[in-house]
Amino acid sequence: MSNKVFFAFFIILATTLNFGFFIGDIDNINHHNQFELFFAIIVNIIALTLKLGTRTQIDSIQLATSGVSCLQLIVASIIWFFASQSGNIDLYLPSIVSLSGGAFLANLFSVILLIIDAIIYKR
Amino acid sequence: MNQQKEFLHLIIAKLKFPLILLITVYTISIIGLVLIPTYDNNGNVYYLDFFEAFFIVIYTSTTVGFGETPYAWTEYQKFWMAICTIMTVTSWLISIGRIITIMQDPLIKLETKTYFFKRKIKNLKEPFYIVAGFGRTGQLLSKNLVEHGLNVVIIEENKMLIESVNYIDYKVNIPFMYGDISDLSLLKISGVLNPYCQGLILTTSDEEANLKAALNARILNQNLNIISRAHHLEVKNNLISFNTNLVVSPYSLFGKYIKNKLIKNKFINIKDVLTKEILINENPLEKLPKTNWIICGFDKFGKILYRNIKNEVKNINILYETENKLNILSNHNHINLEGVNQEDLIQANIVNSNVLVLTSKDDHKNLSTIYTAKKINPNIFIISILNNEENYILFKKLNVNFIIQPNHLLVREIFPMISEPLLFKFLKQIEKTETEEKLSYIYDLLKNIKQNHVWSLHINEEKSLVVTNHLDKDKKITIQDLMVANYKKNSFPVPLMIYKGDDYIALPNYSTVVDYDDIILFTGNIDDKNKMEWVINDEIFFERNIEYSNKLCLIDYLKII
Repeated sequence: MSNKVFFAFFIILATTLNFGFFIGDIDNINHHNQFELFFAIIVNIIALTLKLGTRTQIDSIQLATSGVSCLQLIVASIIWFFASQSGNIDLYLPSIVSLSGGAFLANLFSVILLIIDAIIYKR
Repeated sequence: MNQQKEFLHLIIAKLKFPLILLITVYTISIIGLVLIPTYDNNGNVYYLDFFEAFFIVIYTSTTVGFGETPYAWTEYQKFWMAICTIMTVTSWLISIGRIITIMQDPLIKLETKTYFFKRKIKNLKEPFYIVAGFGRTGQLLSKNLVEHGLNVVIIEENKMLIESVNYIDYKVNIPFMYGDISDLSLLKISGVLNPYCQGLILTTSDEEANLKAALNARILNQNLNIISRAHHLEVKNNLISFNTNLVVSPYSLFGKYIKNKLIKNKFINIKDVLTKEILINENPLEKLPKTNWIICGFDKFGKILYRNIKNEVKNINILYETENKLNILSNHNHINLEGVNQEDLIQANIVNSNVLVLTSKDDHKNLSTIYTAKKINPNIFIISILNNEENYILFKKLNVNFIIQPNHLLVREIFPMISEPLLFKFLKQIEKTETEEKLSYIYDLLKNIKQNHVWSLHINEEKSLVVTNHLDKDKKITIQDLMVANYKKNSFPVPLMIYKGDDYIALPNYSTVVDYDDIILFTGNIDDKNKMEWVINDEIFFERNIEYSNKLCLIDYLKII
């Protein structure tokens, strides 16, 4: 059972961190904390690792959603890196935030699937 | 597909812990570095960004050590880096340890083996046979099958024995797997349901397993050619009851072989000649006396031999150490002695005996008896079983007249059925239907050929286009048109049988007319075979051969007869 708690914890944490980073004005740097993005990426990667080794149909969709969110967040962080190197972070912030928004959607799917899985399991 | 996923899942499930450990340790290290303030060259406070921190952790954790970037480290940073290095290096060690443990896990090892075994069979896009049991029979059979150009898949229960496949140079890649063939899943993995699977050959000495495996395979695949080894009559009957194609037993083969030699069965001679290339260490067994035999040992070999020859031979002495009186006929004796030393043999009247048969499963017991017997009666005819091929040289040194290897008998029975199914059919049919005179006529004919190679020729567009093209022009073709005689060596192929649909003609005349879809079985030198293939695949040579054959081949043929 603790394994299941661990699993659900990381999926939901990935979603909430992602949401936390995403929320706010799209071009206001003060609304988007880089630490939050970093943790969102790490937690998403952990969630991806936990989902590896698919057995059922739902498991493989879970894996796919995590793959999508990790991809989008990592791309966002890479953009952040290049933007900070060139010094005009404000110019690129909207695309970073919108990428994280896409990742958030994927994470949301993941949570929905988690709930569906739990309901099926009950029966 | 499921099996493959299961296998991957097994590995990934065990790899999750080291992966998460690594991610966590890296995260902690990076966060620490980002939070610790440092100073740039001008003395201003500077915080590392995530990329710089990530870069530092990556190179320290792999112990590369590019130095203190981007600015000289403060004492706090150095302290934190010491902790980070210890953490990351330890976690790597733990992860590598885990990975090695996973690779050593017997279950994963088995899964890996099964996975590669399955993949090999899947990629084997040619007809193959499954040989269960890699004992001496299995080894000899596999060797012969591979040399004949067939693919084999080997299953053996003994792990050590199956690994020896790696050390035998078969010139082709042979998939092998260890496990019990009566296990249904293993049977399925080894490709019983594969459309390329031709047959299952069960050579293990475990009858129970053979029976189970044969039944499972028969239910799974109706078209499979199943050959099994069995020792007891009940098992044999049971196997035949569900359409097992061939059931062989080394004991009854041995008994029957001696009996046939004794009554000078012409059929067995023909079989010997036609399957000679399979047998090694074979010497001719021409005249066997019919009186005063001694059989040493009354285990399975001895018992079944006795049952076969009791009416043919007068006065058999059986040497067998047992409390009970054996159930034998009144004109034969049972002597309750082991028969290894001189006194025992003298008591069995070795001085006046003609034949000594040794049936023990212990080669050295047989050898010791032979040595003693030769000393007392040097002229005695000795037939012995050879259990271990390595001991052949010892038997040869003692001038044993006839050495029989039960494995060879088994292989000789099984091999023709697979390599040339028509030869098998031919042997079965002449055994049933032909008269003694005809059999001895066939034997005389075959005796003249030095090396008997058997092959079949199918008259159809796929196998012999030139011949069918000729037939399309409404021209008549006879068997001799297909053959090329070697006049210098006076050798030519002999047609054994021609199959016309369900009908057949044994020993067809050279002028027998050939038609579409006929199958002709030939025997002759390998040279004859090559020449025939050459002629029937070339239009010009074929037509020229027809012109010549009318005049020449018949003359040669008549000369021999």
